[in-house]
Amino acid sequence: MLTLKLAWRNIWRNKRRTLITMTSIVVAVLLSAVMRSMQEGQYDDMIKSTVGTFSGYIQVHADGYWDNQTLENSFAATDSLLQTMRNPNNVTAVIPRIESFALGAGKQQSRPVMIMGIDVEAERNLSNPQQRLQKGTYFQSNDENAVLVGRDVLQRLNMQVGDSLVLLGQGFRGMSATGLYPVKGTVSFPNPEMNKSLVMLPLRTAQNFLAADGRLTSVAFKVDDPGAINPIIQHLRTKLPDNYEVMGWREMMPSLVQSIEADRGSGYIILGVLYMVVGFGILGTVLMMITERTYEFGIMLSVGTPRGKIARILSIEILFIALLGSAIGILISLPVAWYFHLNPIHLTGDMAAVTESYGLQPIIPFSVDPSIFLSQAVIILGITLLFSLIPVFNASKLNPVEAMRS
Amino acid sequence: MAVIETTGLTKVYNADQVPVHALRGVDLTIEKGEFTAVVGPSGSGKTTLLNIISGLDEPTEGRTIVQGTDLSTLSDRQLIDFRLHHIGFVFQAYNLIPVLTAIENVAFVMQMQGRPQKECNETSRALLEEVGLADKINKRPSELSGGQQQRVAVARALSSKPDFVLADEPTANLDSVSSGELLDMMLELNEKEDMTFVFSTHDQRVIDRARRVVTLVDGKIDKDELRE
Repeated sequence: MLTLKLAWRNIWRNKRRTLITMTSIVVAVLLSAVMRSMQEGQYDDMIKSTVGTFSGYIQVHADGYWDNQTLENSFAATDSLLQTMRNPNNVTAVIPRIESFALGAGKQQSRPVMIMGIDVEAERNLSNPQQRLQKGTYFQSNDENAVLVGRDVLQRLNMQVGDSLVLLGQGFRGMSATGLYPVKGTVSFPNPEMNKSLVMLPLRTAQNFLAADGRLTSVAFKVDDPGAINPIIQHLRTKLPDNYEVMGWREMMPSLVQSIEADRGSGYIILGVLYMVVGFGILGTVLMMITERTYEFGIMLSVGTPRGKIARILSIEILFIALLGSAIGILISLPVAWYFHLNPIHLTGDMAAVTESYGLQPIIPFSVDPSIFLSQAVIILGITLLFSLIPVFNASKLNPVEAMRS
Repeated sequence: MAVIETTGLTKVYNADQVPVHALRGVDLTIEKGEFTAVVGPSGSGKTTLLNIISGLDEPTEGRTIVQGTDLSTLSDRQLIDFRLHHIGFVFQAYNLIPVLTAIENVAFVMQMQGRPQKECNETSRALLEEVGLADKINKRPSELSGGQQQRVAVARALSSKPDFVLADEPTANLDSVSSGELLDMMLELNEKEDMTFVFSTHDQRVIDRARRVVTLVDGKIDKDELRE
């Protein structure tokens, strides 16, 4: 109790210095937390743009499909199989697809295109083409004879909505795949590659075109909590036969994971510099606190105050300042991040174009994950204590006679 | 019984470079209940002698025995503990912890000793009354005069129930009235409680009232006179 009382009163002996030190901690927590919130918000957005709105967080394929993406590695979609996939908790939708490649031809041009057969209803849960329609209308049923194409496909093939698109390719087991489909509309995806080459067909129409009745190449999963997909993957691996592969988005998109990790790493370097600046600021303050009070410590040691007690008093003083600074830092950074979470920064000009070229929305959303704010506060707190260790240790080792001569 | 006994105390500073002989073989015995002034000109070794007697400093040669304990046998931690339980200190100035009130300063040493809070409070209050500061117990050092601060320091020195009180020039920063009052108080405690006081001074008014005066010159005892 005496230690706490002494520490608390000591920090207010020099109010201005305490407030300046506290402010430096507040600013450090604010900057680091807001920066991390911005980074993580962008990563979440990248993941959501690519994973949450197209590939799904989990996919099930026939074993070997991911390494060799051909129709020969498709699987027969039985009702019992799909039922098994729908079972795990936290799964909100399963989205069956059949994918392949073909040559798309208009009146004068032909281009390679990506064929994607979608379940008209289930797909609303993931890529939701209806919401992405730029022109035309969405499919009515899974056997409708029509296609939706990426927004740039028509221009590349010199076509218009309502024209017929010829698709030529190879179906299941080497069957010839040929079809003529009216273009019902265009859809716009964040990914420019998809806009250039995607051709969507209703599932049964695509299966007929590819001579793969009842077959799928993948089943994508939409989940409630993207952070908790591992138990679902484990569950599916247990329940599905061995000739199926269950993959999480990290396995399917290692380049996305790597680019996030690389960016996160560069962010940590910037944060490291900030931490060092704060650390040395704290070191200066603590040294000043101790130098000012050397005589007093000499008196305390002379009258019999244990050295450990002096170290404890000083440590608690620093802890008080660091705790208050960190708490205020969190309290200020949370609403800032929350505001930008609700009102993301909209990029314009070249920045927007660059962002869009990566298939991302030209916005900077902020994350409000509490762990970001808590972890930054804890790190700054830790740095404050770490940089105080040596001066506190030195203070506790003072020679009382020399201290009183100071 | 001797409370303090020093034998051949020698202290040399800067022994490797330009040696400064602060003490040159001081033999001194202080009996219980003595009121002893250690006097001498500046640089005569008064403060060094008091520092060594209290275990704050180590002699280059010689021994200090306090209440039968040879201080040279104690570790740093044991010395701190020894000071806490056996010696009361009054320094020249700025004795007190600025953020604590008078009563908290007096209770501080007792709390370090691990005595119960209630006892600390009661004893501190009684000691402050004894030194004439009953109405100042909740004042911080900055709200007290120099003389009042020294009284609080004396109360703190007594609070640990020490074997003796060491005071290094306790009146050096006080005016004549405050010096006189502090000295009266110390003499009263010496007579009433049989408390041993050893203090360094070069204030003639203080020297005149001491019962024993040990005069140091160039680190040696030049004169040791007992007065009635």
